[in-house]
Amino acid sequence: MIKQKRGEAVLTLFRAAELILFAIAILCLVVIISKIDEKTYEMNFIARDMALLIDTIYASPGDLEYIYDMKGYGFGLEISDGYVTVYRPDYKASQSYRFAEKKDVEIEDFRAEGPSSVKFVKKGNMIEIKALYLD
Amino acid sequence: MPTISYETIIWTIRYSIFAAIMLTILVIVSSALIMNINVQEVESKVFINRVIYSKHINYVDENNRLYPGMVDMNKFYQGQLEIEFDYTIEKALAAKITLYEAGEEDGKRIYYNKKWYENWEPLVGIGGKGGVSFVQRNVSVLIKEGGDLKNGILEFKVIIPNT
Repeated sequence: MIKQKRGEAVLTLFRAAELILFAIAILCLVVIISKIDEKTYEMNFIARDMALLIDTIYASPGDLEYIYDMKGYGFGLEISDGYVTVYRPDYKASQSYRFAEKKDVEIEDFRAEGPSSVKFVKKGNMIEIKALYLD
Repeated sequence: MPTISYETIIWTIRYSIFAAIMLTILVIVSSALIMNINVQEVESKVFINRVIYSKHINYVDENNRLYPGMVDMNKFYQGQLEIEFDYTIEKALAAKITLYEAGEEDGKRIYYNKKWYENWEPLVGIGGKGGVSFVQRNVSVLIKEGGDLKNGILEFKVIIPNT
């Protein structure tokens, strides 16, 4: 009788351990899926695309103006310390990518919430960035 | 001496199978989600173009006019690329640039981020995370040394770690 009860207790422990394993696996899946949302890919794309654009603007030996269309996504945008960061308006997720600054060309820090497009102006040794909004 | 019961063996096998199935599901879900966009190759090409158009490598005349693709030997030395490229992080990109005069096998060599170039060079050809992206390109240039102009080749080898 005692032996049978002990066996049942061991079986219960095994089953509990299996449930814990299952819970851990589900938790892993939830963590992976929660890391992304429907806008992650777009934010990642814009961050990289804009970082490469800034690299290209640095390559230009002359002055230039370029307007980057944000396609009405409504994302926030920050450019500072060699990084382009694109973030959701609710600040819950962001994506960023680096670019190489140039020591003798100054780029001003920039931050804007939901611009419809962004204007880059390179004049001499200065790069200015302006947010444009549709009326 | 304690013995391993029949149930312990059965449950161990059961745990192993369960763990294998869950791990497979996690791997499939993770690989199906496109989280990353590879831009290393484009970034390498932009780097090369920045060098070709850089006033820190190329000849600039007295009117401040830049001559892209005309390498000024007075500027082609170690340290010039660090003025042109200032990454916030050290492990962003590394490059080896060799300037050959036409018909000569030995060239003059400069590095950008030499320490990491030498660390990453053995990883060329290895893909995926932990590997690197490697771009090589030869560009025909003019070499300006004093008043002389010679034909030359600028060889770029650019390495960016995979993310």
